[in-house]
Amino acid sequence: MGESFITVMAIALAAVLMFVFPMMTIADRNDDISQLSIQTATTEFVNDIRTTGTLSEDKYDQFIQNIASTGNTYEVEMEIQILDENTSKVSQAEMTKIGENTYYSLYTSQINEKLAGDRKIALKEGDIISVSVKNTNETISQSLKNFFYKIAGNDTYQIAAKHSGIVTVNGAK
Amino acid sequence: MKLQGLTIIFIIIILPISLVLSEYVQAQIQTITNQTTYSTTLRDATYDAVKSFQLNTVNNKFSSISDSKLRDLEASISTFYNSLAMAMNVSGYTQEDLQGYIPAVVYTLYDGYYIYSKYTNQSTKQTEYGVKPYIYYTARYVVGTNCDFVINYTLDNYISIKGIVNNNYVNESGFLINPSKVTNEVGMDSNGYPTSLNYDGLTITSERLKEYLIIVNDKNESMPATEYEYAYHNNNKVYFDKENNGTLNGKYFIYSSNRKMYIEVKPEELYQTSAVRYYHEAKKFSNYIQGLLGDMITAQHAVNPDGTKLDISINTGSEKLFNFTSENDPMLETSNFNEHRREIIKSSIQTNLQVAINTYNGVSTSTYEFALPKLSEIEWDKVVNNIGVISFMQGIPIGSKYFNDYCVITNNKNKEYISKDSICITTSDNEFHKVGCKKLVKNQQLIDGAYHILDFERQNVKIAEGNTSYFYPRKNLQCYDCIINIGKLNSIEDIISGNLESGEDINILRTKYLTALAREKYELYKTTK
Repeated sequence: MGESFITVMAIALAAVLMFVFPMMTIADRNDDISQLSIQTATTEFVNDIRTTGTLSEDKYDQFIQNIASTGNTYEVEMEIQILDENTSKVSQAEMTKIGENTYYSLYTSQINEKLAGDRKIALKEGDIISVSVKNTNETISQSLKNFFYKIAGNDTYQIAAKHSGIVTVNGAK
Repeated sequence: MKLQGLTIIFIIIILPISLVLSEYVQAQIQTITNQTTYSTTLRDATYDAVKSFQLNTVNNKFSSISDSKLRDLEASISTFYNSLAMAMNVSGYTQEDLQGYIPAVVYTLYDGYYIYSKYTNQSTKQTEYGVKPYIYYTARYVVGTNCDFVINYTLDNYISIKGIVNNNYVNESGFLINPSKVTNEVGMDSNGYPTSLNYDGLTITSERLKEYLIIVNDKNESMPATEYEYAYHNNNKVYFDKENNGTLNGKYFIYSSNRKMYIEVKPEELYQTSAVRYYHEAKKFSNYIQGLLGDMITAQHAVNPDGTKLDISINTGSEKLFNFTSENDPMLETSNFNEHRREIIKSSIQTNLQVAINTYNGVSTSTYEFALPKLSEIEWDKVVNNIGVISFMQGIPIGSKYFNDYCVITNNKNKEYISKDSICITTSDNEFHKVGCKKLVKNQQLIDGAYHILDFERQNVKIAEGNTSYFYPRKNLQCYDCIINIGKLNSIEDIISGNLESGEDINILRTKYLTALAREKYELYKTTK
């Protein structure tokens, strides 16, 4: 009785150690690599917009393709803040003070709409672009983890990247 | 062997593999994270450098003078290093450490460029960082034995020619246009210039300009910004003082040290005639160049300074570069002249940068081999059309490899160069528009002026230490459409040629625009004049 119990335990332990443990490690590494490649893709995408001043449909599609090649599905959120210096001009009541600028924001759906219509958005120096990417599917590593312990909450994403910056040049029309 | 035994052996094999693999992936992640962080840092620092150059030149009334420009440039370089050091401090790099990884920073300006790098000072025999002598965008042309000359190109249609043409010594400079577009020059003034002429069917005449100024009174207090009419006279802006005398025969002043300095000017001279002069002189110069080189010079005659054939990627072949027609109009980007000009600028920067970076290898203490990376065509396009900064950063160890990146940031808000999109149009409803704004085409009757984009930027007046006033030379607000819909503007090339896709008549807009563009180009200080 004692002997067979130990054998059963050993088989169970062996299964966990020989199968689940390596799989979890590999799945984790896989997520790391996905994380890495989407971080790189996001940074490059944003830096490219910052130095050329234009966001074109081509560039955007290329970016989506790049991140999709990691085998996961992602939600891409973009925000463009368009600088308006007019308010600082009119509110400059005192000559010795510098007025404040305002920004108009364009969000993902508006950007997509514009891209679909004009194929490209030209930005100007001083505008701000930010892009954030999160995975929407459950990666293998996530499901394995969920098997052992539950992560609570809605926003349980494993792979995320974010980059933002000021546009440095006036985009070509 | 028992199952337990097998398990243990399995773990002994798998565990180290898994640990090493995870360590390796972590190192790769670290490398790429460093790389993206550094490359963003480099972009930010280069932008800061451009911005500081822009701000300094806008607020420096003497920025066109070489010494003063060098000072602005050195300030910009130090901003670049400061910004870089601030961002990299976290990873333990100081400004001195970083200098070793920057083989060169290039400032491309209107008619040439500066390279900031390490070099050997011949008087002290020591290596030091500094700005190398200014290099012009030049090409040498040799035809047979009786033509050997050099042309200095600029970012626009201004050129200088020096050397032997048909055994005569030539030294001339000016703007190139299609001379057959200038017609109907009438009413010669005392200086031998016409009072009005036609360019491409548009009437160009003298104009009146206005701007706001802050005047500091005798008690050293700044007065609210007031609008004055002005005109350029002997390279100075001369203002008409309405407060002193309500009539045009009143007093005229020059703005000096934030005060009015009264001068004697004839009232009829208070008209801006630069645009007419620009077209008149450009026609004369273009005719001269066309007569001199028109049938002769093609891209194949361009040689290196040592006489070997110049290697350029886009060769315009046997097309005559200086034979101006409606296709080869130097005002249009697609003309042979402009194709060739861009190639010359590119090849000049490339050659000298290569030399600078190779020299850097000789004087650098680092074991890393510095080399000029290949810039993409899009980046060259930015460089040859705007003034800007190209920065290189190489050789920083970032984990499993060395960092090697460069960055090109251009700028069109500065006093160095009048680009085609640096002119803004003002309307009587107190707005200003980009030239391509579609609202302008519909409301051409509202157009009341055209100014350089810098006139809409905030400027400062330093009254005393810690007491600075700010003002806008033009108070117009930017049109909402121009802020939001930059992508939907008409192309400037279409405006210049007058052929809009929609087929609308834009002659009022074109007249204002081409007058302002000519005026600003004419008034730009040129060292090769």
